[in-house]
Amino acid sequence: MNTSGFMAAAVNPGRRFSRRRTAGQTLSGLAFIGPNFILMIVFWLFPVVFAFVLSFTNWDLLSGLGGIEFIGFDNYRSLPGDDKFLRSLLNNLYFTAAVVPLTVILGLAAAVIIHEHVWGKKVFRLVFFLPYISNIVAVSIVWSLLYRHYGPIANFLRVIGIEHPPSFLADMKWALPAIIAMSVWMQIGYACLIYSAGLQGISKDLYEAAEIDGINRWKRLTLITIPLLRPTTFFIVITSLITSFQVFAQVQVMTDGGPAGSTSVLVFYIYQNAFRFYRFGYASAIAVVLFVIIFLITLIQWIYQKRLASDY
Amino acid sequence: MKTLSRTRAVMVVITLILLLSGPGIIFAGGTGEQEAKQKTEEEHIHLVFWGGLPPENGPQELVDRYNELNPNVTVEYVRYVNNDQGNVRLDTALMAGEQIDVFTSYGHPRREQRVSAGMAADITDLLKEQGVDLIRDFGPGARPNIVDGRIYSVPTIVLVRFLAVNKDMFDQAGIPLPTEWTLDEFIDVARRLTHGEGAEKVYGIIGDYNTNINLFLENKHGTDPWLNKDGDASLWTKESDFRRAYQMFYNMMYRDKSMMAWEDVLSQRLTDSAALAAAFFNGRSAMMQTGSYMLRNIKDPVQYPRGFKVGFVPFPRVDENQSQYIAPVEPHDDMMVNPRSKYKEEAVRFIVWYAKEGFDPMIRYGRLPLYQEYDKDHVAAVLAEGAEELVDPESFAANVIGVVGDTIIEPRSVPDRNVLDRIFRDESEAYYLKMIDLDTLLNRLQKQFDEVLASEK
Repeated sequence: MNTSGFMAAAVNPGRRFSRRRTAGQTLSGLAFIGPNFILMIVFWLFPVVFAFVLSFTNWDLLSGLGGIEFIGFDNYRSLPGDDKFLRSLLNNLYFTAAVVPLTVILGLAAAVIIHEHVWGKKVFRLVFFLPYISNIVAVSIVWSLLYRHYGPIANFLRVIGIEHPPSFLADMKWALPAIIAMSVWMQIGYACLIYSAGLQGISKDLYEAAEIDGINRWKRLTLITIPLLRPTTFFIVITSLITSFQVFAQVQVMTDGGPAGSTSVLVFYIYQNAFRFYRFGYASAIAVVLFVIIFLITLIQWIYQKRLASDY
Repeated sequence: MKTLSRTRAVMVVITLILLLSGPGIIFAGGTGEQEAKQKTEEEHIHLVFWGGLPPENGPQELVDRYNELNPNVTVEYVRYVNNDQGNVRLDTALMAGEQIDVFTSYGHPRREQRVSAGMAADITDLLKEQGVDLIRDFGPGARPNIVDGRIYSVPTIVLVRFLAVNKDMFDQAGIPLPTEWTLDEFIDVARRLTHGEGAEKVYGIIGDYNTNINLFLENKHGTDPWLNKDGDASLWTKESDFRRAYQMFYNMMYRDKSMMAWEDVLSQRLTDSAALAAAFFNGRSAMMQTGSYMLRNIKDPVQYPRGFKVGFVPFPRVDENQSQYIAPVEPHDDMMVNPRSKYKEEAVRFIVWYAKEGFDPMIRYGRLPLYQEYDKDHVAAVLAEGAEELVDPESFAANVIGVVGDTIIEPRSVPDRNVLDRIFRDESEAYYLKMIDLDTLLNRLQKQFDEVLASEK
């Protein structure tokens, strides 16, 4: 009696009665997801489409919706000639190229060490994970204090014999590496947690067999752990790639894109154009470029994941 | 089975109704509510006033007093923070039709932007009804508030810029507070006031992002010294005073070490006026470039404890014999009416009272009224209230209350000013951090400024 509609439809596909019921169910299904869907349209789909449309205009917010004037591809055309955009893109690539590998390597190391230790696993995992769930603005402020000229880090460097330590955030060469270091520190916990889950999925038999064969620890890591964690690594790389392209808060709080524009990244440049210069059209065009970059990364993920799925 | 499907049908219908009316509720709900409110408040007018000052620094007291005097009106003060985010919030609220009747814009770039975007009502006739003659009442500095013969805003204060100094340090060094001086004397005084080493060092002056060379050139060249007469190109490489001013700061930083090196300013985060003030009151520098907006901090020994009297010194002249001295005084704090306000007349009445009569609570916190009939002695007395022990009265009277010059700063309209400001800030920073030399700096500024100015034509 209480066979659900889905089952009924599957069992008796030909009967008129059930077809009517299927229609009713589709409707009630839609009704249930409807509210969610409407909110998604209002707060997600509409802004996305609107930003895309805006990228072909020179809208300045103040002139209202009536002031939207289409200028074709002009925004996109001026991108390659905009030194500040290119610099932000380069800085972003630099940031990504440093943060992603460091996060993966250090996250894996942390996970393996914690995994092999018998005691305090949960505590250590939590300690590593805390920065990831901490408020990024608060963390950024604390780190800018650490990086001060007479701050703990510089003083430590003085103690160990470096007479003139860099003044990190105030130095055009050091500001971005300083932000990278802090971002890696925040991300390790995330990578560590995912790796920990991955490690638990590796059968102990393999390690026991390796031990019987007299294989040393390093080889166990390189021949068993790392290859079997490939899907996990892949997942972490993709997600960190995407988040690293969206880096913003650290830059905004710690350096405001400075000194002299040396830490400007894509999202920061978007923010600057939109909310400081009121160039919403241009900012949207950069946002579309960012979207394309992230979309390409996701595309690679899809293709690769399919291949992975067929491998196992 | 039947009952089940009926319940389901009922649920579907209810959900659908909710769904279909949902957007209606979201989009139409507001106005319906407002109409209802309006009906009940026909006799009682509710004005919403957005401003950038903390309510406790004057606005709340002022608004309370107005409400007391006008029982049929309630003005509600809403504070927005006058920074990028705060201004975007104000602009979107205005666009979205939120109830804002009166708002304050800070600085002429924002005012111009809003006027040209149609976000300020034309209040020419309403002001006339209230007996206001903008130029007569607020002086020639109010001229830029009139656009093509129509008035869209009322400037309410004069912003006075000066150097605040640590009087004790001047006394100890045997230097009298300068009343009229030149850039060369300024360099010399800064050097003589510098002493100590490391974390204990006292600088002649510490600069932040607001302490830029343009402010030191304005008294000779007027506002935006880098802009040519027609406003379509810049003068960075053409006017030798820029080279001189940049060199001055650079030498003070690295040769005399009388100005904090830019790297240290950044690393100690002394980049904004609040941090700079804290350093100044802590006795880390003898001078600080600032303005009347700092008076509320100068008068606040609880938040900014210090062991010295604050003195006030004018900006040094660029040249000893320059043809005119333009006083660093600028009309500011423009009051505007939302074109969508239902109570424009009431709003203008409030603005006129605000600017002409009710301004005392604001004066106490360092906002000097622009209204020409405001009694200067009264202003001085209100300002000095509670500051007797904190400031040097003579220099206060001469350089804050009674600034004199051949003329005052007349703001010029510059398109994309925020973009230009950022270019100026970034490039100057690269020079102060020794990443580029002076020629590169001036060439880059010239090129980038001209590009922006040309693209707007």
